[in-house]
Amino acid sequence: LRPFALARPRALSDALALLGTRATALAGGTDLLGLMKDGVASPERLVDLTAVASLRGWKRERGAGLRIGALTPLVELETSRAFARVLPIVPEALAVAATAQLRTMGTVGGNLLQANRCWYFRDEAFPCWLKGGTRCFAVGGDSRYHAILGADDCVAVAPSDLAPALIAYDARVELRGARTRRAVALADLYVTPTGTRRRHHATRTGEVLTEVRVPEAALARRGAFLKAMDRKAWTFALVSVAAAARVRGGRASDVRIVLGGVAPVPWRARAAEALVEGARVDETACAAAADRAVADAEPLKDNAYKIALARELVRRALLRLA
Amino acid sequence: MTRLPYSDKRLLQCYDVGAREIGWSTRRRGGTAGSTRSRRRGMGMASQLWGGGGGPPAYATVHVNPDGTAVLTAGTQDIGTGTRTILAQICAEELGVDVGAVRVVIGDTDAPYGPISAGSLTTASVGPAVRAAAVDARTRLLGAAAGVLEVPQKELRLERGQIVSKGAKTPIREIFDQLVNYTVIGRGSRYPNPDDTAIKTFGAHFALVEVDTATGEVFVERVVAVHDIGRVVNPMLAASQVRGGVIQAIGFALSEARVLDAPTGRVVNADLENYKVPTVQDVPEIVVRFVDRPDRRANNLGAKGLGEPPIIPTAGAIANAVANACGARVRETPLTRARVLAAIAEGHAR
Repeated sequence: LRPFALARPRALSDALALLGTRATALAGGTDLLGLMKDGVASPERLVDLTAVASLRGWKRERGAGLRIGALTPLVELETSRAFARVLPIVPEALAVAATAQLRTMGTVGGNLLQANRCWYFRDEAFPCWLKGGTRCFAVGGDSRYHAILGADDCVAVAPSDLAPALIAYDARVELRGARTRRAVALADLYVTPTGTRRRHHATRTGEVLTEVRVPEAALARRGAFLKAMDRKAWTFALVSVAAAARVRGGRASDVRIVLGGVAPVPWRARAAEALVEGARVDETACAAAADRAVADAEPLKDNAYKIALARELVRRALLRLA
Repeated sequence: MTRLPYSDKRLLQCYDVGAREIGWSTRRRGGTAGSTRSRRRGMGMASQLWGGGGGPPAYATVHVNPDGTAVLTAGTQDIGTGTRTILAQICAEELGVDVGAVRVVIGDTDAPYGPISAGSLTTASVGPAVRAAAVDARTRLLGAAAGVLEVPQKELRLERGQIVSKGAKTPIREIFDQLVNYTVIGRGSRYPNPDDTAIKTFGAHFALVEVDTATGEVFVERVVAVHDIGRVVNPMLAASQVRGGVIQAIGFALSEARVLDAPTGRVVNADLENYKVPTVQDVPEIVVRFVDRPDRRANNLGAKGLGEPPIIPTAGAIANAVANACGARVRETPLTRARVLAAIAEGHAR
């Protein structure tokens, strides 16, 4: 672990003033400290946000949707009965995410901005493309956990269980810099690494994710979250699926199908969504949409099994909306 | 292959007990319906044959203190299997004192030589030496007691720390009070195994699983583990060892694997994130049974080792259960989603 300076401001404005090129925001630290110990991240200054009380907690305002502070611990959303009534897909996704210890330390913002889990990226010994090297080691190496959809120069997958669930509800995030403030769709927070863009997140230097917002209209959707793992708990998704839709009279509208663990970003299966939009949520429609969701998949040497998993999880998640 | 007859073999009894516990008679060719539409249920079993006879060299000494307690010293160690406890039991029973009166000194290379804690060696190697040392100590103590009490030695015995003779009981302490600067030290060594027989352990594991045929997920619902290890010295510790073996073997069967990056030869999962040991949620009900009949030809305890045996048959039993459930014959561990799905597809193609 390289030496670093640590600041613990109480005001968001002070935190934003301290952040910059060589400084990194620290929340729960469950991902960042691992990256630092593995030699993948080496910030000169950590700006600990945990004393910034204004970033904690969630609020439902009738007609104004849901707001979740970025520093809210995952466990709070997982275990709150009141929250489960507002957005049950989130506790459903968090219940199978990581461990109770990690969910207690980990925060909403940290979860959404966590780095990928590619074992070549995480191992200092591999100078992979994403870290500034010349090539991707996963393509010629062991690719069992890598992307089947939408990858370009990097085949690492989006690891978060929370992100697909929130994207299925059209969540937006607020990003604050020392002198800037913008809101983007959560889906747009994620970018596919390609060309000169060697990163997975659209955040700019010095920006902090301060809040997640879910629009009022989306809260009326039904949702389902499914996750396939290679043991029963405490491990990242091989494939995860968040599905959501407004269902009236047996017919679905505003259909969202978002997959984790299959692409560099949380993957919206738009063509599959279109097959269910306005249709009855039945076996035929769900199976057709599931087939469509993986129709463009391009597996690597070791991960063709993810196609079968993704297809089946999409089918099951959609059926649960009926 | 030694071509020698086994000293004792009760594998058929393991089959009988295991089949009854798992409900083998309900097993159907091709499996049965599972708890959901996409799941199939199946049952499988596998056998285990392993060493466990132990052997020389192994030594132990037993000091009897004037207060009637004893100190057992042996150059072995307790890596969590309960060696300390079972050696105290063996010593106490043979010497004739309470188990709480025996202090076990192990884990020190100054102690009399003992084997490594590996290869199912300890119980059947060190245990007999301890018993022999306790016999020696008891004989010496009773010899001294015979002189003090003026009773023929053959009329004396040791029970719960007292010298017993025709109903009269004398605490060990009183014998030592009569003797000045007298020390009782018994020594024991592990004698060679008979050379006309093969000493082995046997066992059979039975697994009940469900397989989700659409996602390749394996759910282990129940494992029944039955072993013939001769005499069981401590049933609770032995059962615990079996449970540990079964849990490790579930990891071996379903999730644990070292992943090598082929081009560089570097291990890419040398961490507990991607080297996936089972969690509590991966562990099913485990039923443990023992034949528990002493193998009298094996050694002076009739006991054999139980280090490796519990980890040997589980993965085979699970793989066989998966094959029974859905026809997926996976011949490599672990039975990952990828392998199970591929085997199911292969089964459909056939």
